[in-house]
Amino acid sequence: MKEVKRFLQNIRFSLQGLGSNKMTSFLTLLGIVIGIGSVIGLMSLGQGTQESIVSDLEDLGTDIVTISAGANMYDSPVMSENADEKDFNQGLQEKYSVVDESIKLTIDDYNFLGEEGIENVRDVSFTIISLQDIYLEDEESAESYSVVGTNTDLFDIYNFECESGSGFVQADIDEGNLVAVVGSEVLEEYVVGVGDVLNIGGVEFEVVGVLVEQEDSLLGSSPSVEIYIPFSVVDEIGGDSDSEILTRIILRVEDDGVLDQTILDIEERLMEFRDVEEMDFSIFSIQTLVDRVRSITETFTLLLTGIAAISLLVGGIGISNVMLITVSQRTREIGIRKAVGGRRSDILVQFLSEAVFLTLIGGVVGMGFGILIGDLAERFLGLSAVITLDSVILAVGISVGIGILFGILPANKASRLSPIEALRYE
Amino acid sequence: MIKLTDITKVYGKGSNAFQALRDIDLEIGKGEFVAIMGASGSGKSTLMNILGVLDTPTSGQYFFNSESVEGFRDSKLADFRNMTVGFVFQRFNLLNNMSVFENVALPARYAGLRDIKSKVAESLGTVGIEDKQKNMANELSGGEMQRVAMARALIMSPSIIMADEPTGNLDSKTGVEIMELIAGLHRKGHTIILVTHDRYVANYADRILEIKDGVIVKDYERSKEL
Repeated sequence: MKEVKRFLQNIRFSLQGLGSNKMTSFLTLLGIVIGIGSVIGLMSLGQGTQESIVSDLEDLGTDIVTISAGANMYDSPVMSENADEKDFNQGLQEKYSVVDESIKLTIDDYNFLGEEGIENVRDVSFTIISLQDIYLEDEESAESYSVVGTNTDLFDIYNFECESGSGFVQADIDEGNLVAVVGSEVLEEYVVGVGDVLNIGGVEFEVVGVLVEQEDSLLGSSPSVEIYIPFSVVDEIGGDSDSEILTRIILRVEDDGVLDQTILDIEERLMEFRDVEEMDFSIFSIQTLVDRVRSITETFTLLLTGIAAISLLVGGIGISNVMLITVSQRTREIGIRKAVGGRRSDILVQFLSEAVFLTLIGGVVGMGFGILIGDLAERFLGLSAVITLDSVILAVGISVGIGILFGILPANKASRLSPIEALRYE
Repeated sequence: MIKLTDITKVYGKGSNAFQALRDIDLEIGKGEFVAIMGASGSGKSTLMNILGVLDTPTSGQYFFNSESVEGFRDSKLADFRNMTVGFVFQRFNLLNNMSVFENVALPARYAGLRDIKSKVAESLGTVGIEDKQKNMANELSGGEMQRVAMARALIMSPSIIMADEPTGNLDSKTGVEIMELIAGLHRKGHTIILVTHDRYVANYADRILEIKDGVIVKDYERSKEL
């Protein structure tokens, strides 16, 4: 009990010491405030950016799996060999023209997946995409848009809703009706509405529905600038489109928690069906992208935090330096304290506490500074910042740790001074 | 109470070594008023520092109440300085950025005493400056600072008061006032060990030790000498 009282008394002395050396304390604090502020600010920006990207991606549907023909684009010869010469889009375009043309997804693959009843797969649809010149009846200037031949299930999978009219129905597919559902931004300047006639690749289609405005997709395409037609009429429009050859097969799963297993099942069954030993198709899910983005942004956050941690380290060295100078400046005080009964441990606790208080206060103020950095970056740079409890505990913990680590040397030096030598110090 | 045998103190090493004290044998009884007199560099302050355990001898034995101080750990030495000895220095040695109250209270805080307020008031009352409690130490005159230092030395009611040139930084009138206070403490039963180069100041003591080149050359009762 007596020792606890003595310990608390030394803590009180350390607060008195900080109070009576205000300018020194303030300047030392500054280093820690900047260090902790940078760590928290950058961590929050990293975390915020990650959550923002992940949330955007998740909006696209983490329960959706897309299958396309050919090996994964990241592994394609075009992307790897010419990566330094061609940008991503160019590489992507060339990939589709360079890869083995004989590898195709067909309607049989779709039928197989639809009928096979793979566990956890809820809906299956497909797309046949071609780029077509589009113009309104009575207008001459044409614009190019992606025309997507599909079935009605796609509307369910993507939860498409129409702001006017409706999606096409099974009867339109069966009867081969020339109907189209258009994205809200298709031929925007003419304001396409239900009942309008669109010339698609030389064939006239009646608009039966206009989609509700959709947010731009991170994948480079958006339903807002696409035109959906029954797949059964794809053969009638110009270009290479073939109602038997699919661009993608799209599946929606019941539970995205077991997505990895579902993807493995699909891979296995489809390879068996296509009678291939190596995968000649690629399976992509938003979840895969989310995982990849998480991994990239985590590395990025770690890098930023590492850079900020250097400033924290500099702050810590600053503390040590200032405390060493303080010990020199206060040598006489140490002598006086020892002459009136201060023990070595009292001096050690007092000076170490001063360093810890400095870093603790620096940590708390720095936390506020870090939150402010995040807030300003959000307000003026449009970045998103998320402060997590982890980052706060980590930063303040590191700060106090630095106080102990860098305070122990000067505090120990102070405690070991001989009382008479300290009293003689000029 | 105090017994020193063969105490030597050497500063530095090798060719730079300087012997400040040589084979000092000394006994000081309870309630004595001893003045250690000598010229500058004679070793008188070194002797007082060893007596007050502010410094350690290079060799020899120091017994306090028959107990060897040599075996004291740091905490016991600190407690000795806290409870058994009260120091008064020529340069006052106050913490200038703290109040008079906090300066006087300092030993009591280390000792974990209760009712520090009344003890500080009592100590300051003894030296006649109880009205200066709230002043900062650096706002005081030299005489007032030395009184604060004396109040600090008294707060733990130590059996021994050690004063190293207590009047050295004071004018003669204030010096007399301080010496009267010290003499008063002796009358109240404190053992006083006073270091001075000033014969007039030394004459307040009952016993005078004259020290020269680290050796006690004379040890006599003041009344007999006069």
